[in-house]
Amino acid sequence: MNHSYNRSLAGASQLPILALGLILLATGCATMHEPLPPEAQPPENYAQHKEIGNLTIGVQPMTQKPEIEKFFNVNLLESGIVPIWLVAENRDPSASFIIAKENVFVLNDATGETNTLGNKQMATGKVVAGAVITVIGAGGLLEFVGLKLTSDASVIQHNFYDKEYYSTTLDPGGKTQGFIYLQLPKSAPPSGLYRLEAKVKNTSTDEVTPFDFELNLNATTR
Amino acid sequence: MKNHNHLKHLPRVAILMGMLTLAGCVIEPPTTLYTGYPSRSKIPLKVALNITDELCESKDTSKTIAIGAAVASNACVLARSTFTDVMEITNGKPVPSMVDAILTTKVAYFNRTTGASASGEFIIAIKLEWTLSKPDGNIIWVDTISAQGSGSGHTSPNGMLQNALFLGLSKSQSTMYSSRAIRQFTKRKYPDVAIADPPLPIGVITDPKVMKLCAALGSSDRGKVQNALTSLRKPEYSAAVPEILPLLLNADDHVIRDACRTLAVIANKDVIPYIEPLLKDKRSAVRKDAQKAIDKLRAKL
Repeated sequence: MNHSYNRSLAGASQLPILALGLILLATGCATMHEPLPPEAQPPENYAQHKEIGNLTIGVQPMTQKPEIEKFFNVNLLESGIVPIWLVAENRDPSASFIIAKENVFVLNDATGETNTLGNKQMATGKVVAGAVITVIGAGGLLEFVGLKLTSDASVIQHNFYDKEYYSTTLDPGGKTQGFIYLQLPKSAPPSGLYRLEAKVKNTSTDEVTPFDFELNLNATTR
Repeated sequence: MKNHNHLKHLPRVAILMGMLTLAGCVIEPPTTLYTGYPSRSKIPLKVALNITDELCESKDTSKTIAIGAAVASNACVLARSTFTDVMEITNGKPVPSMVDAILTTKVAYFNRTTGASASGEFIIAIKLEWTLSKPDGNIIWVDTISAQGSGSGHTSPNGMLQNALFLGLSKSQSTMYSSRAIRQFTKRKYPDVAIADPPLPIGVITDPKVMKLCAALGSSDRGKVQNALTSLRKPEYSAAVPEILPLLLNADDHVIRDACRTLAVIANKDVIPYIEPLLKDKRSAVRKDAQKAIDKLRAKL
């Protein structure tokens, strides 16, 4: 009688472990996939584009939550980050153009300050993964569930860096694309007039040409 | 009285979980150097390879994998396989008076993702930025090369890292060698020296479907790599060629043979120097597919 009671008690004690196993099965198996990048259109297909000396650059701020979540798996606007899609194409038959990452930046039209995320901020990973890490902390979840979220956070962080614009030399016929990240205050909806500037160097002449674009974020929605 | 016997195992479970979490954290970059660059005429420039402290101290974003030394030592091999004269300098000094250009590399991005479970996908990704500048600092050419290795929690992370790094180096050398900007600079510097024509320009991958297939080429799962190679076997996917070339050095003969078949369809004769060493491979099936690929590529215009 006593043995039978202990057995049933032991069985009952297995329940939490069984439940944990089910949670693991339900949540621990699917690794988040890195979303595909936007399909690069010819630069002139973007509302904001410029052609100088056979080099064409098009830019498009991404301001709609569904669109951002599609390409980043997280709403970057909640972290005050506005991704700006940049596409460039060299149609010159002989000249090459250098578009260095450090020479592409966004200026606040009113203050003249730059808001583009710098390498140091990016290297910490705090800017992007912050939102995700907060979710884990706030959830107070079991370590195994946390492991799943940590996996998601690592994929989101990698995707953010992977889709960023990096320095390139565009040979004749060459194309490039990537995101520039504009950091705005988290407290207020992104708004205002900004100016994206890309300083492009022609490698044949060493001439530097600025490409300027006005960005109106007043229509941004979170 | 409530039975808490099962709780006595908690510390052990916690330790086990901790060990599982930490397992795989010790990832070592490859100690062998990548040498799979094709033998072809080098660009006739005197180049100072600038090894910086920033490069040597490069780590991944979580600061657990030191990759800098491996990139630095591989940069020497890469530079010597690309330019006729290469000397090394540290932190940009001293710049020898006779050099034409200074080649500097940095790890622009290095990170890894973890799968949600052991069977999930783990990725190690690296982006190498290369800058060739004149001794006065004026930039001649800059490019950033991306590469990644992937696998599951059961895959050796060291192997994934080696795949990512070697792919990045192979693509870097290929991009540097074919750069119009570098060749134009060389022709201006040495107008009387004959410079071999660069390989035909290879387009940037802009099709997301091709990007996805190329990402699978870094997988440690042979089946995934072979499937991706088969799917890429369409002439319109020629932008994937630089991603496929490192697979010619894969340990798996099935992967090598499929890479040959795909290159035969999507590449041009510029890749023949990459395939030719396979004609001396000890595996007869590899030699056969390499020869077939070369024949098909030679028949192309």
